[in-house]
Amino acid sequence: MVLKELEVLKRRLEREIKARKEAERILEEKALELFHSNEQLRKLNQNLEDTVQKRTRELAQSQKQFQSLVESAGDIIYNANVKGHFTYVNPMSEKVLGYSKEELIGRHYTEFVQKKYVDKVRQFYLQTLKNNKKTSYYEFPVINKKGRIIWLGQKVQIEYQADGNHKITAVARDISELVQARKALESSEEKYRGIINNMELGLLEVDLNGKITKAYDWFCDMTGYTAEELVGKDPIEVFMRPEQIPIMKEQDANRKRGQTGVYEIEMRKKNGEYIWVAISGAPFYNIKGKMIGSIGIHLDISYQKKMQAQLEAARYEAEKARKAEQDFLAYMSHEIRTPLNAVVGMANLLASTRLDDAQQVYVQDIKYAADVLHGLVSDVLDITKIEAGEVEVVESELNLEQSIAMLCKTLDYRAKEKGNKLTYSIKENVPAFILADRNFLNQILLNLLGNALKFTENGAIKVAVEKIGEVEDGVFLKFEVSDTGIGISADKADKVFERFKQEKAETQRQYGGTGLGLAISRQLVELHGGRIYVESKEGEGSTFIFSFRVKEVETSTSNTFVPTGAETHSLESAFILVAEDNEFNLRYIQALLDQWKVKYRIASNGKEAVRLSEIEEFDLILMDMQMPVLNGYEACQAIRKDPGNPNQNVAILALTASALLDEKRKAREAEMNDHLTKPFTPDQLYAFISQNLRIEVSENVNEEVHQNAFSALGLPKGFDAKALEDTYQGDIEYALQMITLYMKSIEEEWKKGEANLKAKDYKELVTWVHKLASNFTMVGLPHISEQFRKTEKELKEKKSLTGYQTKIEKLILEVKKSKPKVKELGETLLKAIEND
Amino acid sequence: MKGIVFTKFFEMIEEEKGYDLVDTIIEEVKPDSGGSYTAVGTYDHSEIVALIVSYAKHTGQNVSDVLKDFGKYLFDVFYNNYSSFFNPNHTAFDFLKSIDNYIHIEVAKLYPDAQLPRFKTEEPQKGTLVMTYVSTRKMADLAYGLIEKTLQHFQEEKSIIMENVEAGGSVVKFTIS
Repeated sequence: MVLKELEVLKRRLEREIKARKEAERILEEKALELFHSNEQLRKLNQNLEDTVQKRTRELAQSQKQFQSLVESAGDIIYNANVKGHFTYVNPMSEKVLGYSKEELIGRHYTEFVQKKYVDKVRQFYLQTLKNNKKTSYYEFPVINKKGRIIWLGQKVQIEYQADGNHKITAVARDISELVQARKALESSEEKYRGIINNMELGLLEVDLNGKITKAYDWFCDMTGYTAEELVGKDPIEVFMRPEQIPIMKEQDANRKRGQTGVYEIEMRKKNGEYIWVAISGAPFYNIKGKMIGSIGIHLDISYQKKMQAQLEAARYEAEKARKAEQDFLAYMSHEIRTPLNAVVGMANLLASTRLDDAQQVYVQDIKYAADVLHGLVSDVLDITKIEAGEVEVVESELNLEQSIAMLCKTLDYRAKEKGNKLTYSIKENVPAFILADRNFLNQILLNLLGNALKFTENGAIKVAVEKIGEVEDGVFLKFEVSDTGIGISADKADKVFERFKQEKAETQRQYGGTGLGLAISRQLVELHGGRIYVESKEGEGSTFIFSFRVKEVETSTSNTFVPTGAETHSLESAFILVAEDNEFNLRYIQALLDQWKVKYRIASNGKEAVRLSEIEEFDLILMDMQMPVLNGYEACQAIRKDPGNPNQNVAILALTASALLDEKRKAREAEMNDHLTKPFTPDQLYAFISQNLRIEVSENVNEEVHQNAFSALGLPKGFDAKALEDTYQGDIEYALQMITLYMKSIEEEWKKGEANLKAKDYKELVTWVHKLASNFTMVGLPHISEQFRKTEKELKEKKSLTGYQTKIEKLILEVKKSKPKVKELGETLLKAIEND
Repeated sequence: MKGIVFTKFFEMIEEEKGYDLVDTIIEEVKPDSGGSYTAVGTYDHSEIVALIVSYAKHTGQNVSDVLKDFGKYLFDVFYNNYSSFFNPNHTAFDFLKSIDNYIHIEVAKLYPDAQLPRFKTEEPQKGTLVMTYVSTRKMADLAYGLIEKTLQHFQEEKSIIMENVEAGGSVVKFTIS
């Protein structure tokens, strides 16, 4: 028993020892485990500490960077506590607000907000906090230390804290300029809106489908609709008459192509009435530049339209009345002119017959009265035509010197009647040939010269031309017509160019005239784009000056139709066709041509003129315009068109009723070379024919005629200024000496000739003819010289006097006839020298 | 199985029957570990089962009663050794609910290798606690003893209805009311 107990005890002990060792082993394991765990924990702790330190350093670095960023930021950055007191401000805050950091920290933000905005701003931020909003943006003005208002755009970030001490960070930017620009934009929008409203312009916007998207107030007022009634509608359906729809459709299509347009259209108002509107339509773009419709600006032009219609009616009436007046004047003028032409023509013819002194006076009176009457009718008709705009400038090539010389020649007898000396001078810088309206220029000069002659007695009248400027395709010419007459008082100088105005009422009584001449001159000058004025001193004379632009012609290209009679040297050898149906006129022309020993044929109508032109070659054709069967234009065209006609290119001169009537244009169209207005004086016809035959100037047109000192003196008829110039080179005194010598010897010369002829002394006569041939050239009569030379040559060839008896008698007669003429020449030269 | 279960089981047998019986059942069972156990060690679960079965045979008791008695014995051990888990203001239900939620969590921290049963609790109505035992050890009877002793400790008179949810006894429902 004891043994068993011992065994149990022994086993128990073994078990306990084993359990203890097991427990120790476990404890050892646990302790080791614990040690390793501790060791690991320690390492972990170390790492953690390192990481924390590193993180702390990084944080400090980043904070530093952030700080410097904040410090250098271009925006205001500040912190505030939840109540709104500044806890931090960056330098920009100081700069913008003008306060130092110390002055700002602790202050409340509302102290800086502009007074009237404080409530609004406070309200905004209270609301932000109440709604737990984390970020917000608001704009408001603050006042800086200097008192300047600065608009800030402020972004606020709120970090909400459990304890209620929320942290506030704000970034604010100076947006003053932006606000300013925005305000400017608003006020400009306001301005334009105001302008548009005040301008009574109805604006309407439509979309791309043509439906109304917006109707402005004034448009609604204009049409009687409300905006609600119009939006979504098609304007074509609402406002248009059916016949106007195509116009609108076209405009709509243009808008879609991006084109603008202005057009007038009738619109139906809500009450059914129609108004006229002018619509200015333009495409309408959105901000991205995409077309989204069009906008139309409507202006009510109903009143203007009404006025326009009334004006149109009034204009039509006025036009009708004016036409009637014109027709009447044309009719009257024609009715008066026709008999007047006969009176003038017959008086001229009568004057050339043998009359006693009393009869001469009567004829002159008739001529004078007829001239006055004719002038009056012409002037009235001319001014009417000019003012009706029915006159046009027809430029043709003309030799200025020749024209002026001709004019002076024509007026010379009138000048002499009152003891006036009429001369002209043309400066060297004036082109020889110009393009101008020959008739207008003649008429202007004629008017001015006519006046000068009228108001001057025993004085000097001068025409002077000079070039005063050059332009691209021409030159400016200045014309001066001066006299030594009664002059015009300074205060009336401008009025003389007005219609029916003469200087004084007495002027009319004393000198006559219609008072239209200067008005016409001015109109004609202005038609040429020039101007005219007068310089005058009462009692000393007047100078009328006008200038205008003319085209320069390099050399005489002349017309297409170079007169075939250009080589003809005198009227005597000319052969002319006269086409004239009026018996009086015809008789007049015939008488004159007979006087000048011109050969001619007569045609009493256009058809006959054409027929005669086919048979014979003429040097010139004078063509009346109004003839039965075939009128002058038609006849001229028929001749020009027929290549078989020997006169296809001959000079055809029109005889017309008025220089300013349509006839002038018609004459040009019919390819006529020139025209002469009826009635004409014998001198005018003579000049007209010889000019177109180019008798006196045909040989020297390209030479410097204007340098001729003798031509400027106004030589008596028949003298050749060129011949004198060639001989004396401008030395008038030398010429006068020679002429005096000629006068002394001339009687002896013709007696010598008569004696030689009587003695039939061939040798002596040849010497005599030879000597006189050169004598005549020296006194400016080269055509007589030519006759002598021709005879001399023939005599030398024949070596006998047989058959030359009559011819030499004729030459002796020429010598005798030359004496008074040369005497006149001498007197002219003497006067010129004395005047110098 | 934690060593404390073996050492306390032997302690209970020694107190009630003397160490000879402890020696007898060890000699009889001859566990692999040799029959020497330390409270901090961990041993195979089958050894405790064999020891309990042997003990029941020697005392003429059924295993279920042995486990219930051992449960009551263990409660006192726990109460004496780990009094900090017992809050004087708690009721029995409070304590029972804290096993799964608190006590076992703390135990697991101390013995990471311990395989503890789960005790899900719910109160379907006032005064009734349903505890569901889940363990592959199938020692619900031990739990029964512990619950019974808990009620005694908190001096609450409640009935315990024990029913198997799983036939083998790995899931057992206790209804305490």
